[in-house]
Amino acid sequence: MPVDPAAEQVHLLFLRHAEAIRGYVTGLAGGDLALADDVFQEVFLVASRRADDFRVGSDFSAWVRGIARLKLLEVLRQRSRGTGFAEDVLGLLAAEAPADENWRIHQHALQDCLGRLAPRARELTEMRYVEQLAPTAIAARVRWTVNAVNVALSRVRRQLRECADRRLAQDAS
Amino acid sequence: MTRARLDQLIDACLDGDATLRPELEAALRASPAARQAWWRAIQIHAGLHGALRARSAAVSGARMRRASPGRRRTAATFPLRWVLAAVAAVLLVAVGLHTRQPAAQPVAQPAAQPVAQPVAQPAVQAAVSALARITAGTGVGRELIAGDEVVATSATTITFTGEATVVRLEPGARLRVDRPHHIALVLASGVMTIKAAPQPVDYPLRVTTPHAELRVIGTVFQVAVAQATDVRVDHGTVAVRSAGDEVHVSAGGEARCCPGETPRQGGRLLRLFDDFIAGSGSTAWNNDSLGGIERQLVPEGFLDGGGCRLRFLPDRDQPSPWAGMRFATPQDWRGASGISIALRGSGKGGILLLEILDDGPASAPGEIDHAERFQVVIRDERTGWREWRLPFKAFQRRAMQFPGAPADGLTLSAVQGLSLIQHTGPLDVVVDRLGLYRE
Repeated sequence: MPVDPAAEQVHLLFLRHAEAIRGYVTGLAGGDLALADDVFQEVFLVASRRADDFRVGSDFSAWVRGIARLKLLEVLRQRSRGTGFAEDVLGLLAAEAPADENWRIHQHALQDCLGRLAPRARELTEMRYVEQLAPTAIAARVRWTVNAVNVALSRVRRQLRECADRRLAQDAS
Repeated sequence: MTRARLDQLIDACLDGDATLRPELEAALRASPAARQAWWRAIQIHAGLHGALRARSAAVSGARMRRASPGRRRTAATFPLRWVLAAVAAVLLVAVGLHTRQPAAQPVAQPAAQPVAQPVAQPAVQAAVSALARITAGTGVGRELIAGDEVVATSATTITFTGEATVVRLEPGARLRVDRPHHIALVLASGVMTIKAAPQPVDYPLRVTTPHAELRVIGTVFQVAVAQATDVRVDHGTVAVRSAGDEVHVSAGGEARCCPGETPRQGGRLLRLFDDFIAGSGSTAWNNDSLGGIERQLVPEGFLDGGGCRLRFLPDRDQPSPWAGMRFATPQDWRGASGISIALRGSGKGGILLLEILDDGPASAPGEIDHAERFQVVIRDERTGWREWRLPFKAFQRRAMQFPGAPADGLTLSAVQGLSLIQHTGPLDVVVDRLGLYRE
């Protein structure tokens, strides 16, 4: 199964590119993780329905990114005004998004760096990214100010970004 | 704009503060460097989300246990909980086959070519804890993290960490496991049975297929199925959504999602002759052929812990052996649409007849009956479980009738029994959940 070999092929490619597709959608969704998850699932459905449109051997990533961008625009239009980036900004970002291979390499580097986080930083990160708590909710839980939480999360991301950059530079040398 | 200010704007946006977005948009619009900085930040932001999702298994499990300690106990108690919890859902999700079956000649699902063992997403594997473990079948013992894909080459069982949810994949099924904050399963193809433990209302288990979405109402589940997707619910209630519409399927019901169409709710089991629970014995088969048939209760059933293995061993004296049921008193089936039977085939291409003994002169069990006989053909063309729905309109009058049998058509007003008869080929099958359904 499935009966349709085109759908079979698309499903397989989608699974292989899943993290890059999810990252691409997250970026266009303004970093809104919940919105990105919703759109990601919708993209899978649309790609499956349109599997016959995909030509084997052509650029799957470009094809599915096109679907993702349109689906995100559709979702944003259905939501209240002021949600997400303006369409012209989306277009600029979409054109300059990292390639799938870049996502994969970066994920490897990030994986190494995660283990180096201090316990408190890890705790905050998990509240934000696992439980998907907003900074206000995290602040209430840890009894910090919201600003302190924002600063701490920013530091964690910067620390990880710098660590990942170092890793990538080492790998390249 | 300074780099520090740009970082501040990006961080604010990533943490949900929309007040600074216009300024960020202006920067992104004006500067390629700002757009590059945005994507670098997103790689961390989305990467963290992805890499840490697997940890939510343990986190969410602990949270769920804290939230409802009376319901969520240790894994050791889960069999009892499955029995007791009305909210637990057992689903069969079948993706791939969605032709309307000509019931007299049901078409078996073509088995997918197994293409791989469980495939780990390399990016996040080592840094995260296990989301689930394969406890039987393909890759047994292997731990799965968020993003892993499993392609079952044999019947495969996956048990989730910190709770009692269990997924069983039939050979050929392809599944991706994930856990952003709930268990999220993407079934690309194949047949999957889910026994979902109770879960928090705000963290329902979800299943996505190419054509639909499902989730359990109440405390548990969401599943999504599409195009070639069947959903059958044994316990609990499941919401099925496709093409913008949603239906709720409760215990005994089913739904079908075809491409671009809203869900169609199917038949409901009216009566179960036997679900062959291991240990409870089976009183259903009481009219077997004198030879050529071996019956054995086995622990692995279709949706529960028991099935009945039937080995047909034809010989010169009994070239077409059968397993048969005769009812103590004739039954009125006129309120039903057909017969439902779960069958685990051997895939060797044998042909099985399901025979109805309709009305006719009374005779005691053990004596030759004079019922009018009708049959439908089942082809054993695949391995693994499949639930067949065989509408009465697909049954045909058999050529073989005993003297005295009426010829008044399939009345269903006084059904005397039914049989599974070997027609051709080797047959070694397991049957379960034999009953009547109504559309």
